[in-house]
Amino acid sequence: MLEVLQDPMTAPPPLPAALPTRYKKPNYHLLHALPLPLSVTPLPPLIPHNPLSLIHIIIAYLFPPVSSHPSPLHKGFFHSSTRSVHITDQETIKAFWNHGFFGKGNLSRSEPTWVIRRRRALGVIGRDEALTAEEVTERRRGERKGFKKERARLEKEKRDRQLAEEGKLTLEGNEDQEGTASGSSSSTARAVHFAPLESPSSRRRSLERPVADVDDIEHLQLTLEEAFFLSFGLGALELMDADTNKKIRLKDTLQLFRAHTYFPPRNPQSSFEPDDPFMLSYVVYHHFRSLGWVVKPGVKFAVDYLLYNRGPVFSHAEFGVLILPAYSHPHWADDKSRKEGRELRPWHWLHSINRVSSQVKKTVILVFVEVPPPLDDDEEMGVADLLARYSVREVALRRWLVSRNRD
Amino acid sequence: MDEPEDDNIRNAQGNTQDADLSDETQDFRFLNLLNNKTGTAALPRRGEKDFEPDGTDLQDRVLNESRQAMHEALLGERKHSNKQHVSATWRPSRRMAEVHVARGPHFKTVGKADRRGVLWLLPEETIYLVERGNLECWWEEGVPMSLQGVYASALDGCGGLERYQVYAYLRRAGYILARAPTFHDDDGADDEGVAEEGKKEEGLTGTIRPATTTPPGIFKQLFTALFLTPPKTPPFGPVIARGTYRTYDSIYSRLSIIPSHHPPHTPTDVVTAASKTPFRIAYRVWKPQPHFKKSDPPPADFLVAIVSARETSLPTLSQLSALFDSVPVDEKIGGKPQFQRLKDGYRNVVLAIVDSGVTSFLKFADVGFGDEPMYKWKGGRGRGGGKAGRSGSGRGRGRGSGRGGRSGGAAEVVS
Amino acid sequence: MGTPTTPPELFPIYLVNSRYFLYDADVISDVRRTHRMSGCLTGTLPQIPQQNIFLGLPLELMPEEALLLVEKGAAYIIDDVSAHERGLRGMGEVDKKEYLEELEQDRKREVEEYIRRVEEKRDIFVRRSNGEGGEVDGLEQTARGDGDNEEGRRIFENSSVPNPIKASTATTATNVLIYYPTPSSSHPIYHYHPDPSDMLAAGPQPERTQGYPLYKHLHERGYFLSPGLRFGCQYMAYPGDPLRFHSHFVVNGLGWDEEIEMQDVVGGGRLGTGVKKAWMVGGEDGEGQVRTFCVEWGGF
Repeated sequence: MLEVLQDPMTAPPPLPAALPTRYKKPNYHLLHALPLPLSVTPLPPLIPHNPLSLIHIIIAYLFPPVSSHPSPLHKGFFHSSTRSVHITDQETIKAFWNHGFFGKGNLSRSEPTWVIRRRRALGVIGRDEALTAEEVTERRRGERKGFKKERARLEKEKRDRQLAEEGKLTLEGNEDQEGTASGSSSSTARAVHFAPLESPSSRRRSLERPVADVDDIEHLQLTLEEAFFLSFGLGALELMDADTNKKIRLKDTLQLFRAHTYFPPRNPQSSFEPDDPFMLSYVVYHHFRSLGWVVKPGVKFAVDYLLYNRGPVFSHAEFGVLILPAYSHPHWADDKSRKEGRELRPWHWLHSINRVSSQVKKTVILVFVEVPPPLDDDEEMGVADLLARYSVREVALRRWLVSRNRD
Repeated sequence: MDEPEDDNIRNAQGNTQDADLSDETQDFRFLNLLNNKTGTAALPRRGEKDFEPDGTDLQDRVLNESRQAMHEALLGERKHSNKQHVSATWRPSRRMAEVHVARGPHFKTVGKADRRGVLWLLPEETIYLVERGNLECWWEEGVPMSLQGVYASALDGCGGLERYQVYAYLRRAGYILARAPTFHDDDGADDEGVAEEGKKEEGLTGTIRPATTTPPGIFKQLFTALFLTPPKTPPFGPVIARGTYRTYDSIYSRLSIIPSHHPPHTPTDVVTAASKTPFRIAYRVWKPQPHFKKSDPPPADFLVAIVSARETSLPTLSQLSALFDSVPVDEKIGGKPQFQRLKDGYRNVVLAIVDSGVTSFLKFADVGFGDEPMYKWKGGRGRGGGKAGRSGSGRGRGRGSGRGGRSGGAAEVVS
Repeated sequence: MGTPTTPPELFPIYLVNSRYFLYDADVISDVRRTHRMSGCLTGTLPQIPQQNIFLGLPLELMPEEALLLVEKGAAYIIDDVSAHERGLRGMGEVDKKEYLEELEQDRKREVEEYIRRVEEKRDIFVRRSNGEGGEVDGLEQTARGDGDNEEGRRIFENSSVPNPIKASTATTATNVLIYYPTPSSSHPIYHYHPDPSDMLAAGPQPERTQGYPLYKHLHERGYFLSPGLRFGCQYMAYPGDPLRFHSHFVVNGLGWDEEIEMQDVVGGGRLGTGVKKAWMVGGEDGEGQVRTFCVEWGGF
């Protein structure tokens, strides 16, 4: 007769469901109505039986009121040291974030919110006014931490009771040979220590007298792919070199960016390989942006990109993109070392990424990029034509569960 | 709303894609909780196992009981009674077992009769039935085989241990399996294999083209035809040259300069010659069904290829492409919602990856994001024309020198 | 079926199609207990064949496990295909006859045993019913159509038959079940078994995989290791028997100078921490020392 201990404390109790939001969200639909930092002016509708509408259309067509591009163009500063483009003008930051979710605040998790949090810390704004995402996270973490402490305490009590029953521990807290330390999870020399959760600086002292206001020192940082898309793709961004303060010509941008996706950066004048990290990365970025997806870096989930329908404020990213180069072209047939290094990945690596993605409910998409052969030395090609030499193929990946596919 | 804590992995709840009881070693003490019919468990959830040895006698005792339970389970006999007695002789020359008298329900899904009416079992079917205790297999020399003996004799004919393990795994789960015509590398040589030539040349499959959009409407088409040649992108950009754009659709469509793959939407001919083991379909798999006819089966529910994790890596694109070309298009895909199409794909294969006795299944789906442009999706996307900044009746900005055929001063307009 | 008996010191590992197998439950339990290796049970469990949660013989060993056992001098490798071929070739007619007769005897004994048990039960039942003055429960003859792995117990009573004893004997004779068992391990009569001391030197050697140094290093420190594919790693490391413990580490063995993508380090941290484990990489440095490093997801 087997004895099965059914201790209600054995199974960890589930954590509480999502806490209710305690702040009012802005109207995202209004704020993010435009998908790109360009404006469009539709032609007036044609009403077939009304000849005036036709004239209206012709006039609107011939004398369009406004250009789609911002005037003057937005400016961004390329910093070699951070391999990114910094946007400091507030209007530009708003335009790029609100219309397409480009970039990330360098002092924030995503949208630039540093100044709001700073103001709150200095007492310029109230405790619950305009709560940012970071602050909501911090508050919820605090609650969870308290809960976990309580649970650990209960588990230790249970274990101590058991050991006491077996005569190995006296309940006053004096240890026997086992040397159970109080509070922590270690009992034998082989135990695993988990580093304590770093709590963000939560020691906010409220000042005696509130400061008038604080300067916003945060900038929006664009990845090289985002910057290239905004300048080469949309023509909405003008690039300046932060060191020389000179304009970077579109002509030179590609080489500069390609050079900086290596570490340490290469000389922009040197020749590059068709499978440069920047080329592969940009081709995929451009491909999904041109289909209307909002594309954000995915390093947090061990993927290359995340794809959102409309943007992070509206829904979760459905897809995580993994970029894999493909060397099907006969030119690469004999280049074994390149192919082995880049094409052949172990199966457990793929499983690892798939697991991480499915933990957060995302589907992994393998995006194969066909790498074209290098250009001949004397061949000159425009950037768009260069990009068009690549091609992209998506393959969706899901774990197939035997028990779930039976019916 | 992308809740900040939703990506906190410490809070990750169990996910449907991950939950599989056979992932973790289960305690053999709970063997008798399993119902023979359903095979699903009233098994205790996570929380039954311990985090680490804590030195208690209790823990030691439980461990010993667990080990004892396992030991006893392994001693379980493999046998059947005379009521269902089936015996066969293993013929090494044919690498199959010749059945003496077929009896019992198993032969609905295994075994193939030859012209003389003699029933033959494939090596994997032989091992499976012996392992289950439903078959007594004899050597030609005249003694009955042990389990060890049947493995030594038949495993090679299965195509390797991994193939057998996947076969048995799926059979145990209730699925019905049959070898695909491409089980061996030289099978399936009866189709064209023409595409292979073209593929080698380009590295493309002929399904690659830039994303296209359907023209907006007859009136605009007229405009386009009469007045507009889409301005060519300057060599170094920008792709969206200065001008007044009428819709975001037009901007997106101009941006689509990267060719991409479009999977076939309608059934195409299946080409099997290009796929090579191990990236080659080994088995056709059907969900459990009561009236399955071996001789006239319905289309397979899944097509499975089997690889060993230690001996292979991720397939290259050409291997994957060849694998997709060897399977038929899923006819039901058209009716699915857009997100599903991007996850399930027009063609898909199940890859079984085996690592030292542990099997994991991954489904690879042939999808085309270029076919489902996000900017065209219905459902709450505010794509209203931006009427921002009506700064006067700005006249043409004098662009596009050398465009010709346009009234002076008119801005370049794209609809 | 008591506690496992102690198997001989040196035991064989059977090589078939480049994979390593064990078929003996005693050996398997000893390997688990003494050598801290769980291997992987991959065969159908005949008691409950239609499920994949509990599997039975044979046990597959990872190449690392086989190599370590051989290195420790605890086991040796036998090429099982040729061992069977040789054994069958050398099987004499007389031996064969004896063996088959032995099997027949076993079957007969089982049948006799079965009949004896049934009659015993019947006797008890009859005595009880007679004692109780004929109050019968009306138990019916249960026909068991699929008495595959059970001893088709039959409790019968036909209350209308005047002479219960006679009826029961007749029923017994026609309803007895004969069983055809398949043993797990091969019998020496058809399976050639070389001298263990010969095999240690001359037998095939398992390959030394890239992950082997790390495997050995962790094993020496008391961990059980099993294949990690499903969890996204090479090995899972358990602080004790996987039957009773959760794993602590998801482990990947790397070359000392092998480059790791930052993205993969992040992924590893997420992978482990998401399931309360630590992601570990390790490998052998130039001097044969193994170093290990763990990555855990931190939170700001």
